Amino acid sequence: MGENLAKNLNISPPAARGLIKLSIKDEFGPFKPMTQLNYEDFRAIITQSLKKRLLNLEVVNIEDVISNMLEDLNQNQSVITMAGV
Amino acid sequence: MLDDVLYNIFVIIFVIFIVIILSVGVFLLLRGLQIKMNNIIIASVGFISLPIGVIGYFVFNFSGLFQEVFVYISFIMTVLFTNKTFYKRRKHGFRHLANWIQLITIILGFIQILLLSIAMVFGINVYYLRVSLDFPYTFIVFNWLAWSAFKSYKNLKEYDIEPWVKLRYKLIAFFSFIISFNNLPEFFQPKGVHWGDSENIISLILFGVTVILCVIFAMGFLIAWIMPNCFKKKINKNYKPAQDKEYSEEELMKLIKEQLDQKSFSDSQ
Repeated sequence: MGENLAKNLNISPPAARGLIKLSIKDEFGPFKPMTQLNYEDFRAIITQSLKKRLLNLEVVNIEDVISNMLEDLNQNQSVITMAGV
Repeated sequence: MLDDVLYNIFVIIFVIFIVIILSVGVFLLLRGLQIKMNNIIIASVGFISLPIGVIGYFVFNFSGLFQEVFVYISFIMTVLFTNKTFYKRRKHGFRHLANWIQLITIILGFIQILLLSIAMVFGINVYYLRVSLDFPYTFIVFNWLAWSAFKSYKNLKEYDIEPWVKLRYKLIAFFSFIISFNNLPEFFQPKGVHWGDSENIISLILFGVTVILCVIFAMGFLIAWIMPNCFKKKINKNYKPAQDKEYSEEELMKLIKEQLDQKSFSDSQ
C-alpha cells in the first residue's frame, strides 16, 4: 500500500508508509497490530482516515488517489489472508 | 503376496492423507475463529468435510452417496474460499468469471450426486459418464485456486513482502495444480472391478497413483498453512524489511507537505 501511495502522490516510500501508519492509528488507535486488520478495515482506512489526511495536505486529485488505492487493495486483497494466518 | 503388501502400503498412505487434511482443517478452523476471517473458516469446512465423507464411507460403511455429498461440500467451500480470498469486490470481469466458476462447480457437483443416485437406485452403470464429468469438476475447483494464487503471486512478486508469504502463494498454486489432475487415473479403472482391488493389478496401481497424488497435495498444503516459525525464519533469512526513520506526526506531515510542494513546483516548471 505504501509503495502504491508513494507512486500516486509522487512522494518517497518511507513518507507514504508513515502516512498509512498514521491513518491506521487514526482509524483504530495505536494498539491494533497490522496483522489483525482485515479487508474491510483496510477499506475503511483508505476511504476515511487516509482521505481526511490527504484533504488536510491539500492533495489535488484525491478521488483518483483513493480510487487507485482501492483498486490496488482489491487486486492484492489475498495478501491479508496469506500473511494473516 | 506383493499385491497385499502394496495394497496395505497404499491404505497407510491414504490414512496419512486423511489425517493431514483433517489436521489442516482443524487448524484453519481454530485460526479462522481466532482472527475472525470468514474465508479461512470456509476453507476449514472444506478441509474437514472431505475426511468426514471418506471416514463415513470406509470406516462406518455409509453409502457412496454420503461420501459424494461431503466431497461436494468440500469442493464448493474451496471455490467459495478462492472467490472470497482473491475476487471480493474485484472489477466486473473477474467477478463474473468467479461467479460462473462457482455456478459450474455447483452444477457439476449436483450432477455427480444425481448420477451416483441413479446408479444406486436403478442399478444403471454410469461409471464412465460420472468419471468424464468428475474430471472437469475437480480440475476447475483446484485449477481455479492454483491460477488465482499464481496470478496474485505474480502481482506481488516485486513488493516488499516477507518471503514466507510469497512461498505460501507458490505452494498453494503448485499443489492445487497437482491435485486438479487427481481423478485422471479413474479413466483407466477396469470395468466391474472394485476401486483399489488388490487382486487386479491395474486397479491397484491406479489406487496407488491416486493416494500418492493425494498425500503429496496434503503435505504441500500442510507446509503452506501450518508453517512452523523456525521454517518461516529460515525462509526469511536473507530478508531485510524496510527500516523507516521514526518521525513524530508533525515532522512526518511537514516532510510530506515539502515533498508534495516540491512535486507541484517541478510540475509547474
